[in-house]
Amino acid sequence: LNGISFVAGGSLYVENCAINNFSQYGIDFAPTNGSGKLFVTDTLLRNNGVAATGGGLHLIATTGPGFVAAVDGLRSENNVFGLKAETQGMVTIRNSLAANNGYTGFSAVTPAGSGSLRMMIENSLSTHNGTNGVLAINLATATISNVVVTDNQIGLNASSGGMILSFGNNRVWGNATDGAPSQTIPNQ
Amino acid sequence: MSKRSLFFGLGALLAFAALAGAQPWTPLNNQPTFPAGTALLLTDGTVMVQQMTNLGFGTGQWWRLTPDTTGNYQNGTWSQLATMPAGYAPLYYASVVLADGRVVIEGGEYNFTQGSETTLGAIYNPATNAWTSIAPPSGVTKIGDASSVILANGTFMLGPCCFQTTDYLLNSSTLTWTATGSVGKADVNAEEGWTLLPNGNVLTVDTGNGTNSELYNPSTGSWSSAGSTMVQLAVGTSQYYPEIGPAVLRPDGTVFATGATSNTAIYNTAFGSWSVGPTFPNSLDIADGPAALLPNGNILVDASPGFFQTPSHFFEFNGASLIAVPDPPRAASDSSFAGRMLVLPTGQILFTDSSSDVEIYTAGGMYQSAWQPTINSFPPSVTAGTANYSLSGWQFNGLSQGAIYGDDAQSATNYPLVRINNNATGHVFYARTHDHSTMAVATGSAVVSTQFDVPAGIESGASTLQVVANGIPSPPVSISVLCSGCSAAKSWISVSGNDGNDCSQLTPCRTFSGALAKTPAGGEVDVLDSGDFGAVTINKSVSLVAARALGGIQVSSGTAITVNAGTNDKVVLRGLTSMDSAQA
Repeated sequence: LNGISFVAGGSLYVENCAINNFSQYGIDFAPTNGSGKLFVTDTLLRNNGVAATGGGLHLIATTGPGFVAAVDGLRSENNVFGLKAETQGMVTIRNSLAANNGYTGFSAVTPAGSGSLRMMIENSLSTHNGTNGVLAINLATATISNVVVTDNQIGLNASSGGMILSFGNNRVWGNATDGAPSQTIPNQ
Repeated sequence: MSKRSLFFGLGALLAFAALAGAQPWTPLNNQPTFPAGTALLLTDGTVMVQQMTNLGFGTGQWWRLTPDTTGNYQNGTWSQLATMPAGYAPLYYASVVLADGRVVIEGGEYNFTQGSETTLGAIYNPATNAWTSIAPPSGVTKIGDASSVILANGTFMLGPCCFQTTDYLLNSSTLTWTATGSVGKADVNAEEGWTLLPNGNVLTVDTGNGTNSELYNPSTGSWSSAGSTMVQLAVGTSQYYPEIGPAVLRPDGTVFATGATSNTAIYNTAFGSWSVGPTFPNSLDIADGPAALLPNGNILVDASPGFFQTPSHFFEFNGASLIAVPDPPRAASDSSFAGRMLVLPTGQILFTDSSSDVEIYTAGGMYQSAWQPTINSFPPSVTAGTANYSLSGWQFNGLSQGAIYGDDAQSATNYPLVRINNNATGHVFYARTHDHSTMAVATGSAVVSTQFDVPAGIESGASTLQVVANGIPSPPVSISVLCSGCSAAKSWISVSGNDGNDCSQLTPCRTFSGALAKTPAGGEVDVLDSGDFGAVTINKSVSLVAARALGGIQVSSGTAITVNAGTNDKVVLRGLTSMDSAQA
């Protein structure tokens, strides 16, 4: 099933790990009480998930207050997806790579009309993914800064009210469809 | 033992399902992967057991049975110990646990498969997991199936087999011997067993001298008659030198003595006199075989017909009568001589018979409070990983040697163990004891003491401490277990480890799961070498760290690491660079 399955706990620190070939998620961070902190540093997730099921790093909190995750130095390669945050929580991603995943590289998704999700991606790369480079759906917001998005089916995909905010310093080109940020915001 | 053929039937493995109801025998849940022979209780609460061959000969291999976290031996796990010095693989030998915690093995009627009455001997240090050879006493050419006892002052006394009357005292520091002389011994040592009495004298029933019995007085170094056993106990055949059975001291100060006849005799240590005991039914006897003192004061015995015949039957001697009790599963194919008993710290009896079916006997009844050790002074707090705490009190050595086997295969347990029970978790830890002030039995009102070392892997917090002797615990005292810089909270795992180990760096565990069980909350499990350390569910704050090796978990199905912990727990997974599955 999963390389690491987080069901309950306070904090989980994953450092310098390599997690390969699981049928569902490399890391499934899914606190059943909706609360938990995840820190991922310098970790490889490869070849996780089968067909359209499973993926690299999965974050989900189906009840409040939502997960809190900080990801630095993640390489998510050739999974069903690279990193998917769902429903409720906050995730920051830095110095990371999502490459050659079957579907989306970085995905922020809530159900229609409920949930609250913020994803911040900085100094990272999303490339060669089968669908989207960066995806935001419904009440999810993905903010990107210094991110390279290239050679995906769709570069930036904000749909059903989802928002992709850009600091205007990203390089989005060479995708089948590059797409565009929902909004560009200034540096402070 | 005497020159006997070995007739362990390979095809005679009978495994009957345990009877319902009051079945006192239960098999180990983790049976050994080897035929199990003589068992000795180490002072850290683990049991060391000799590996036998499939034909019942000795090997130089020994294993350790470690109880689970609740102190349960039935759920114990096995790990292999160091091998005896090259060339030494004895069967029917002298065996003792010294007051410093080391183990002495001397002689052997057989070495490997040869009937050799070997003079080889070795001492095992559990703290270093190392054997050292012991040279025989000067001029002794046979030790063989030797009588032995630890005298009250802690000195190991050896009675070499065969046609010798001289006994030898071991200096355990220099591993050299001093002859006691042969003052007064009426017959040769052959096949005789020794029983330590409350006054420090040693009782034996002669095998070559009618119904005579003798007492050894350590203060004079001489033997003198202890009178007639009233009935004949030792008897031989044209083929065998006379055999005798075990003689066990009971809490009331009487010694229950058995032999190769169906007779039994009772020696009253208060009056120095013998009386006739009950007769075994159906021509049963104990021409070599084990007996053990139960916490209820009864003696469990293993009897069989004639010389080395099957089947065996088991009885409890209650001071007046022999009460038949259920037999263990293999009794039908065992003769009494194949059995070995050991009194566990739980008060249960570990029974081995050179098969890989190890059974535990749990007796009914209860000890009397007067039989308990009592703690007088103790440290109010102890620190994990710290050695040499002192305890003093009364009756730390119990009222008897515990289990006894006719002439050889001694497995006495008349020494204190220290058991620490964590109040919060209920987990049980044994602190290795050493340097007991006495090895006497039934020390009464004399204040005695021992030293103990608190294991590094112990859980911290409020706990209770008990002294245990012959399976009878003292009333508990409350102590506090401290964690020194929490280095104590570190466990190690290795591909060559075993989950029966303590997970120390020297004796690591094998799996994340096994180590996690022995690592307190807030601790760390460290991977020593590269390998697959198994799926694990984490239920507390802990770090699983592979900093010096490829810490791996390979699963063919399911999840590798599940975190299902408390809401304030912190879990660190570092350097696990080989978490693989073949699922995707």
